[in-house]
Amino acid sequence: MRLSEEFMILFRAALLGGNPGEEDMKVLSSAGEEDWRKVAAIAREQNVTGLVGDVVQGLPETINIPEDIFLYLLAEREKTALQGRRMAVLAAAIIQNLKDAGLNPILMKGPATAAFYPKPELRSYGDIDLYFTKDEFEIARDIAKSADGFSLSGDGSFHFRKDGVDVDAQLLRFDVSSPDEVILMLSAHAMRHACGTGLGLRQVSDVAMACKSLEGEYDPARLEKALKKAGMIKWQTLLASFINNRLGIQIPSPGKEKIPDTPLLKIVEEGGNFGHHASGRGKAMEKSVAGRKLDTVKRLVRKLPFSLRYAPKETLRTIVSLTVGNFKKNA
Amino acid sequence: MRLIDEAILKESRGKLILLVFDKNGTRAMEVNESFAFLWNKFSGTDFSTEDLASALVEEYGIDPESASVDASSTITIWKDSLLLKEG
Repeated sequence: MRLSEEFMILFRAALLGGNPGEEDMKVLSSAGEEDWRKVAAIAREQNVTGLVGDVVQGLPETINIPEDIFLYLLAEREKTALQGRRMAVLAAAIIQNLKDAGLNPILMKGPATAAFYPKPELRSYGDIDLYFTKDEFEIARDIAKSADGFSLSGDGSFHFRKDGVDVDAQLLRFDVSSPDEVILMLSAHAMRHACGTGLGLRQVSDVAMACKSLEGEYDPARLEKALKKAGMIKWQTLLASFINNRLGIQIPSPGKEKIPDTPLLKIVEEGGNFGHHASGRGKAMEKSVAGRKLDTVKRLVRKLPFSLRYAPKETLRTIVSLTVGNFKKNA
Repeated sequence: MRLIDEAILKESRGKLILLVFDKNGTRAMEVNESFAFLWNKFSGTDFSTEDLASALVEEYGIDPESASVDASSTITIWKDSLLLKEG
């Protein structure tokens, strides 16, 4: 769904932690019922109703919002905040338990990224992702074996449930001890989704908020060097273009020339929440394993012109790993 | 009697709104000032109809008979809206 002007005004204000400016208020004042319905629909599709609802609840009464849309967004704001606070408490308790057992888990993705937002509890996430160093991974796995819903994945990662929340634990394969590496990791995560299943606005704003929060702590020159090594210069230039143009947050662009952000805009508008709203994805879970694999290949092939242009190294790695994976299965 | 815990009273854009997140899903209802006063005063505590009536007399200076009628109708609304804990 196309990102409307009204929606982007509200989303930008949420990221900056304030109210829309005077000019933006004029746009919101002239928005009609259909515009507000679109705002709610886009916010839902991009899974940012909590962030958008927070700005809407603070808008002056002179701005005419349909009652049902206002109540929906207000309720979403509170629901997201309640869930966010619950998840933060739960994540802290799990980490403390593991620390008491002598381990040092690293919290990543949702809960860690939420901390970069002005109101962390409004950046929704559904599960808790923990990473362990090689030395600690097996010990953590042994401890988790007695937990509810423990299961192992083919890649060696393990999962369990705590108070109804999914916890995923993985082996830490790269260093994330410096701010540069955190930004690199978030950017790479977004790139993989852009080239694969789809990318939502929230994953883009995660990179923007990390850059904003860590400003002065990370070294743009060192980050650029790491991006170059990872073959991500073009991708990061595109991402920076989108963030600078649309999110109102200025982040350094590693590319020498300015490039239009429209290829990424198209993916974000198609993708929604991690691509869960992309056409045909809703029925994906009803399909067989073979059907889902075919869908994945179709999606990757469809994105090839984008992937080869903005993430050639990653695309090559994905093609090789898919081919090797299928070869191993057929051998 | 006791009010359910899964609800939040919010003031936004000049309105008092009760948001309920219970097993029936999410509900939002606009409430008036006396509803909000009673909700805030009695959330998290056990209370009776008489407690509500006394609170209304104290807060709004109305006569005990009117307060008793208002307290009873408030409890009926809370019951009908599934805002009271079961059991």
